[in-house]
Amino acid sequence: MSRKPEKLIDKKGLRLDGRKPDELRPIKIEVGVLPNTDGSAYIQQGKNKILAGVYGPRELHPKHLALPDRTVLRCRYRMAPFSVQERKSPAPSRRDIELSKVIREALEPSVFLEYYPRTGIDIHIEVLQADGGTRCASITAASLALADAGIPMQDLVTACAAGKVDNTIVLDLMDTEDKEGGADVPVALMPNLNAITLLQMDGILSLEEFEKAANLALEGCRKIYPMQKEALKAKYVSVKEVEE
Amino acid sequence: MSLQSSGRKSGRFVLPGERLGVIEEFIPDAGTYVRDGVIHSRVVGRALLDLLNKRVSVYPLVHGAKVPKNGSVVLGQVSNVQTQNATMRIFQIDKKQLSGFFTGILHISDVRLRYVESMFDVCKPGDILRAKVISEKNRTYHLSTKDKNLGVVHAFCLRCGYMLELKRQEMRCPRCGKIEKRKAALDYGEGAM
Amino acid sequence: MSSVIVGLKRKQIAQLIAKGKRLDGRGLTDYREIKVEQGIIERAEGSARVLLGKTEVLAGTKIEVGKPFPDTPNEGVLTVNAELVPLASPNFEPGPPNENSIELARVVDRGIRESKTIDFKKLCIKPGKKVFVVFVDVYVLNHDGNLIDASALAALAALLNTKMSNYEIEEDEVKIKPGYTPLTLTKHPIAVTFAKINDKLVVDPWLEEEQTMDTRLTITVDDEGNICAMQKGGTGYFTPKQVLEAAKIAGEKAGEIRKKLNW
Repeated sequence: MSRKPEKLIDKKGLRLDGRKPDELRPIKIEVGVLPNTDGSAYIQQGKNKILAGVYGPRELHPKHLALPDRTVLRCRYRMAPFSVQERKSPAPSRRDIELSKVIREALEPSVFLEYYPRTGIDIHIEVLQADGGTRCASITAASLALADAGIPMQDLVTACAAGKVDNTIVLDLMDTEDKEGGADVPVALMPNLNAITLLQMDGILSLEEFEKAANLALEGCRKIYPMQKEALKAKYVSVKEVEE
Repeated sequence: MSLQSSGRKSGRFVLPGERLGVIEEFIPDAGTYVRDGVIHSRVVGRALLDLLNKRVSVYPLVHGAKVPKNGSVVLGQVSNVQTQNATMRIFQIDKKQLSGFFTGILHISDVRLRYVESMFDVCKPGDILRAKVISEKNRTYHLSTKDKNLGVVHAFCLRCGYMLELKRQEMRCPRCGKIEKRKAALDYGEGAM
Repeated sequence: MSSVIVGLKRKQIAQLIAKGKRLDGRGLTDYREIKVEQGIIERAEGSARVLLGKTEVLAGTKIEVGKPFPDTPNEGVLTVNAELVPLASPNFEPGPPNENSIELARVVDRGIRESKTIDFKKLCIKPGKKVFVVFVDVYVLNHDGNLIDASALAALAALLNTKMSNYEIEEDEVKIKPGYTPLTLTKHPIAVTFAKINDKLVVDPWLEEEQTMDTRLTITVDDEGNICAMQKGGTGYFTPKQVLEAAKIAGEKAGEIRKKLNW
């Protein structure tokens, strides 16, 4: 059990982990890590360790769930029991179900659904270790997994959260900052189309504070997007193109 | 096209969504899509700008997302056989093994050019069959084995389950001696899987 | 209504909205008629029935004595649950809560909880051992669009109507005394939902507009104009400009509703 910290931002304006208010946690991304999936990615963001895998397009079972003119996207967000401070039951919680829904809705606008009628695409997200901002990191990884599966997309989806902590608007909150802070605004963006596909908020913010936080989160997304590109490049450009 | 092979290496690495040009200047080709007059990539790949013909396309570097299409050669396991047709679970398209499967139907009239009396002479449940997709009507993949290279590639004895051997038009079980009928592919038994 | 008819109407609705008009004659930022009745279920500690146009939501509160959460030993507990009753719509199937009813409950919960309208410390009986648990159950009785706003209003109205029995502690047991004390709420958070149709923002979508839209955005605003909850739903997207525009309009609409209900 951890003690509640007294101050989240110290006299020098630095946060509990030494970051500046507008600094992201260290991020490491790898594409194509699960050989049995059609596409996969792994992300480490601060202490978050998240795996995303994609199966599909494949025939949907039960068949009556299939749609005649497009594919059906399904998403499952789960946290491992050892991923959090106090053991979490493996059964899906209400939060898991809500997050599965909003993550799916964040990714769906980016996929060309009409390309694969009567099929299903399944996205599986497993949080191995959590430290705040898991839904954003999950979206960033899942979007790469979809690209890794060769599914045609309108754009990648990048996600990042911003919020308020000790009266300062900060970027990329970790768990303690989320729990003790004043607000959390997770945002997902399709960077080339400037389209927001996930937007949630809890806490209290004035209109001006919300605008600041939302813009900071969007900036965070734009900083993470080149990292997604590097991860795909690392897998696909080093492969000899003679292969085909 | 020589332009393609030189373009392949020097093309810019692009992600889905990246802007490639506008429709006033280019014709959007494979691997792209248009939105509000702007041409974007829709796959992870290399952008190819054909300035001569004013075409822009993206050569995909990720090969995946295979779904049976007209003309695809597929491999599947027969799940059900009736007098007029057989159903099979497609698990491989061309050379790619799928993580899931698709359902295909082979109708008796599409088995071979000659007349076939009954589907039971063509294949049995459990056989591995190579077929070609000929249509996607009525939301099902319709298959055909009308070619020397198409047909059963692995068949199993109904009595003892051992793999049947092809000996001069006849399918014979080497363990129990049972003779069965199949429409076998030319390379039957040669480890198609 | 069969889906064929809905499909044809969808086009009509979208075309009208592109011209700034709605099928029922409302302006793009107008709410339907809102009716709130409180105290209709005597067995519940608090209750309210909200009619938002034809959407009907009933909310009831029950208060029980329970254990606090380990990380908040001095605070009472709030639990919000929503039931999409099969009677409310042919598309609601009986069974455990699905993702839609869970999302609905959590968004309503967020608005109430984050606005800090309830002082949870006042619900503490014995720190670490006994606290009051406030159950808010939202029962959707008719679905004609915008369940979130109607449910949030019903939940809030039910809480405002909630009376807690007076009690005293006798030998570690909670003994009920005669008389009631109303539950104190210091804020009135209002949820405002927008639908995006043909790239236009439309407030309080009714059922057929919901079937036409591709995305929705709910913004919950408190009495001071602060935002305390937000939820984007659906499979489309918003531009940053649309989000900020919606936030401004939400503040205005929330104020109008509070005024109308005398909150």
